[in-house]
Formats: sequence, C-alpha cells, structure tokens
Amino acid sequence: MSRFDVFAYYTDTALSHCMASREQLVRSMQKYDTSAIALVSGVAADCDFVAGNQAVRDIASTSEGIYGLVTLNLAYPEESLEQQRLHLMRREFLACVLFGKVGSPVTLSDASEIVNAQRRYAKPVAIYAPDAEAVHEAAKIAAEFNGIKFILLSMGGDDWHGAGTAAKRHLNIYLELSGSLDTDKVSHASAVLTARKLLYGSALPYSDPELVAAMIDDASTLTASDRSRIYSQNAESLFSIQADTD
Amino acid sequence: MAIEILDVNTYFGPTPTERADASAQSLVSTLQKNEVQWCLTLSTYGVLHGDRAGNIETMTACSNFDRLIPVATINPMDFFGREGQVEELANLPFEMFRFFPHRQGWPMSFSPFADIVKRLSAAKSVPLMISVKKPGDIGSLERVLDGYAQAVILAGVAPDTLAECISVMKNQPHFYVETHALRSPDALTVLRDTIGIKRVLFGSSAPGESMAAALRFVKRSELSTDDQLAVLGGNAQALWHGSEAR
Repeated sequence: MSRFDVFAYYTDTALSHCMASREQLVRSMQKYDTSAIALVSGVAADCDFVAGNQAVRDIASTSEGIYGLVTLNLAYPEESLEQQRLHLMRREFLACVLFGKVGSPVTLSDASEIVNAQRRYAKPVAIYAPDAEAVHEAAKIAAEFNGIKFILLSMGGDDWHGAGTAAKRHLNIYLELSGSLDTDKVSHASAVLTARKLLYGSALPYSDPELVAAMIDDASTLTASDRSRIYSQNAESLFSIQADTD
Repeated sequence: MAIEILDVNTYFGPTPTERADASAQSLVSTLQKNEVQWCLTLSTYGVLHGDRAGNIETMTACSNFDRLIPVATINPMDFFGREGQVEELANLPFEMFRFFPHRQGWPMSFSPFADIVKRLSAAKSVPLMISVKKPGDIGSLERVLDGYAQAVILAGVAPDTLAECISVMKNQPHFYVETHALRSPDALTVLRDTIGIKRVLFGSSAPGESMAAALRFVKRSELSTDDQLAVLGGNAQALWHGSEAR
C-alpha cells in the first residue's frame, strides 16, 4: 500500500545517511513504498531555520511527491513571520512546524503570534509533541485557534493516551503515529478517534518507517479502508493535494 | 536449516500504565501470531512489586507454557546480603538473570548490584541482561561487571547510546546487544560492521511494545538473509546451547 509520510527529516546524521541528499531521499521513498513525503529540515530543527527551510524548498517537487513543512522558531517571531510569508503560499509547503525550546514544549503564549498569522495561509500547524506536557500545551493552542488544523507529531511519545484524549476533545487535532511503539497505540487511537484522524509518519532517518508500518498492519481492529486512510488518504485530504498524488 | 525465532526480551503480567491483558497466555498468543517459537520472559511482579513473588510467578507460567523460557530477577534495593539468597535462585532452572536499574531507581554503580553479580558469577554460568537508558550507563556497567565472564546482554540500546555500546562491546567480547530500541534504519548494519552480527540478539519488549514492529525491523533491514536469521535466533541458540533441546 502506497504511503504518504507526513513527518520525515531532510538531514544527514552520523548513524544514517538515507535522507542526506535528494538522491538518497528518492531511494528511501522507493524502498519504503512512499509516494509522497513531507520533509522537515534537520538543520532547521536543530539550529538554522531560515537556511533549513530554503534547503527543503530547493529539493521539493510536487510532481515527485516531495513536499516540505516550514520550520518556524518561537525565539524569532519576526523572522518566523517572514518565513511564513516566503514559503507558505507555495504548493510544495503543506504546513508549518513548531518545535519547543530545548527542554520545554511549544506553549500558547510563545506560539500565539505565529499561529495567529498561520490563519491567512489556510494550512495546518504541526507541533512536535514527544511527551505529555507537549500534548497538554498543544491542546491549549488547538482550543484557542479552533479554525486551524493541528498535527501532533509523535503523538505524545509514551504518553500517547493523552494525545488520543486531546484529539477526541479538540476536533481540529490530528495525530501522527511515529513515537512510541506500544502494541495497542494504533488500535486504541483508531477506536477513540476513528482512523480519519491518524496520519502515517516515520521520523526518518531517526526511526525506521517499517516500525510504524508494522504497527498499522498488525492492528487487528483496522479495516483495509482504515489502513488506506492512515497511510495516505487522510494526509491527502488534510493537505488538499489529491490531484497531485493522483 | 530453518532457524527458530527467539525473542530475548519479553514479559508478562500487569503494569500500572499499559495494556490490561498482558497475561502469559496473551504473550503465547502474540508469539504464535508472529511465528516466534520461543521467548525469554519474566513476570512484571518481579520487576515492579517483589522479586521473590515474581520469580515464583515466572517459574509457574513457564511450566504451563512450553514456549516461555524463565528469566529471574533480583532487585538490588531489596538485597540485604542474606547468605544463600542468590545461590538458591541460581539453583533453579532460570536461563537468564535480568536487572532493571531505571525502572527500580538504582544507579549502575549500586553496591548491592555488584554484590549480586559477584555471587552469581560464583554460583552459576548464566547470561545477565541489564536495561540501559542514558549515555554513560554502559560505561558504568562495564566497570561494575569487570571480571564477570559470562554473557552480558544490553537491553534498550537506542541511537543515542549506540556509540557507547559499540565502544564498550569492542573491548568486551562477552557483551551482546538486544534490538528493540535501536530504531534507526541503519543501526543493524552499523553493528554488523563494527562489533559483528553474532552479538546482536532479537528482542521486542512485547507485549507492551509491538512484536510485529520489532520483527519487521530485522526482516526488512539491509542485513543479508543469513545475518537476519542469526539475529532472529541463531545467535541466541549459540549462546544458550540448551534452548534447542527444550
């Protein structure tokens, strides 16, 4: 089943080079049956969001299913607003993505200005949410900006129950499935939310896409239709890019 | 010759935060579903509540289900140096001893842990498995286990502890690594190219974590078929000469 990977990094790491260049990215997409992919720049996430976003823009190609997420930096609100203006009108950028400051989550007070500005682009906001605290704060943002769709990347890590609860309470929250490999995560989340709110994502190259794929394939409560939604249809609908992937 | 798959890292029994049905019967069903022939396992009672009760529970479950191979545990925080305590346990047919420093809240350099290891070393030729989590853990463990000649299996090695794992394993030929937390698509090939594939053992941390995901991580890796079979069972059979004869 072809996959739309909504969360992968365009980056080189000491351990894995499978997402280090355009050629390696294309090879990885073929290897993992990925028809479309949304890239976060590793450089942008780690230190230089302006240069990182440009690097993703340089390799993005809608005809090849290579899309980007615009990384914004809460410590640089003015520059982040400029990055939104610069990139988010382009079809190859599907959403913006927010990472917390080192050791702390994305908070409503820190993110308000940027998220408010996101409304004019009519595209979702992805928030990296690797733990319960990050989910809790993201839920506050989703409640405040209920006209914007939010994607919780890594859906709370080991605290995935909390992410399911937040997404049930706030209908504008979607959950991306990388993170914890708990056996019951996919079945539980689909039972609580329906499969329509779940998005396949890998966190490549930090995590092997087959791990998440195996959890989706192994979840006995899912139908073939549910799996199709999780692997690609939900992302196509959320990002309004059906025509591109067809 | 077909290799039987052996999972070196499973458990059964209740936990305060995870799935409701993690009984020994459920673990056996998980093994059958995933075509895994054997697993080394222990009761969560021994980890979370009391090692004595847990070890009895483990022996009972393993006598009821052929596929389950018993693993003993001792909580060093409850070890008061009573003569014969370790030796009595060593006389029972446990195939491995496991330790959980992070779950139980004691440091690798904990003196009672060193005492237990010393007594075990004199009493029984049996592998140890120790959970590692943070950078520095494996180096500390190497110092504590100086002089311990039996196999030592590192459980929970992740990308951020892999460099330290390799560094230590190059100097400690009796150290092994278990696979469930490696996650990076290149981790297995890096291990093959540095410390050799013969010291890599398949583990899942099921039923809490997905056995299907752990299996696919190995089966879809870029290891050769022979190397995959070695990781999935051949290496474990070589380490526990008796497991084939069960």
